Amino acid sequence: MRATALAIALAAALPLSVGCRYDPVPQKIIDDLGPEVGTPSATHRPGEPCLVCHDNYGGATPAFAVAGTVFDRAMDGSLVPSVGINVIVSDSASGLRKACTNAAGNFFVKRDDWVDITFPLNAQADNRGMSSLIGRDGSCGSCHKLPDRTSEDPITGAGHGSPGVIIAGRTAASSACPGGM
Amino acid sequence: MNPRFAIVAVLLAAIASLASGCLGADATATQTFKCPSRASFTGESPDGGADVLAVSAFMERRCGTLDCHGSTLRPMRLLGKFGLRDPASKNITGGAPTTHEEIDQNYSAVCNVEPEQMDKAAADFGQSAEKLLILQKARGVEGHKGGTIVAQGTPGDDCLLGWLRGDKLADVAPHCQAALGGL
Repeated sequence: MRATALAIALAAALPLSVGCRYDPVPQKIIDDLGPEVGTPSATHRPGEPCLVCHDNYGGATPAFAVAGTVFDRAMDGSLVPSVGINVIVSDSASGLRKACTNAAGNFFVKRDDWVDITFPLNAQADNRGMSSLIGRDGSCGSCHKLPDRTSEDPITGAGHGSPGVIIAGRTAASSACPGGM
Repeated sequence: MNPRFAIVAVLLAAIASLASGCLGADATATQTFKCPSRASFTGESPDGGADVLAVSAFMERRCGTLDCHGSTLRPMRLLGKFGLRDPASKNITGGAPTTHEEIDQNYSAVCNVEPEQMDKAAADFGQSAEKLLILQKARGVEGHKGGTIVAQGTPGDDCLLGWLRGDKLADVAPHCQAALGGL
């Protein structure tokens, strides 16, 4: 009898706890990204806003402090992953972290490796620095959006609310790092 | 006619006339609030001189990034070259310089955070400015997801406070430009 009552109480509490965790804003972003294709790995979902999942709400591991994707322009103008590019991110408390892009152009700094990150941030991919600050979002893909129907530039994704994806703009002076995992 | 239908129709007509009577002319009335110097905010010289970087330019860079007040998901939406662009234009983030229309929209956005309080601050030449949400949040006194933006006495703080105090463009702009120098 007591066990039945306990089971009913637990069953009643479960939807309540799930309901408290639900946040419509990040949830909509996650839902709009669509289902995973294949097995999640360090090279999955290039160009997407990594921290919507790799953060407290999304719960994917590892949690990131900063993460994104760097592209190059191919000879035909299309976007290709920029592999083995140094990404340097500096924060407002003189903190600095370096990351290297992998085979998909993805890079990340784990939250455990930058617990005291202090916004705003500045970032540099290869020799190309950002013109603006990063105010509060460690996902590069939240602002550097992939092309969609609202983009003014259908290749880079640049538009009213996005400078487009990050393009490294390699030069002869580019310093490669051991990426490609 | 069905008597029940007639009663319902009469009741609805009575409710409709009462509702419109309650609203009356006030339904379309507007109220005007003052806001501190437009010129000091926009950087557009009131005597027709060259434009200078002022409060809007500082706020665009420091507050209006795409992940903060340059996001369509946030209140006090700020537009600018490196952030959100005027949707009525063809401009892209990082492209053409901030337009006059965008600066005007920034002025409206900032003035309309607390219209009544802003009106009061404009009337008392900034004596009540420190109670404004915009300054409280920028200083980190009030909860602010973006944290502390300006510390008291720094050029960024002087830029905002000078404008709210009603200082002239020539006095406000140097503070804003000094603050921009560190960004």
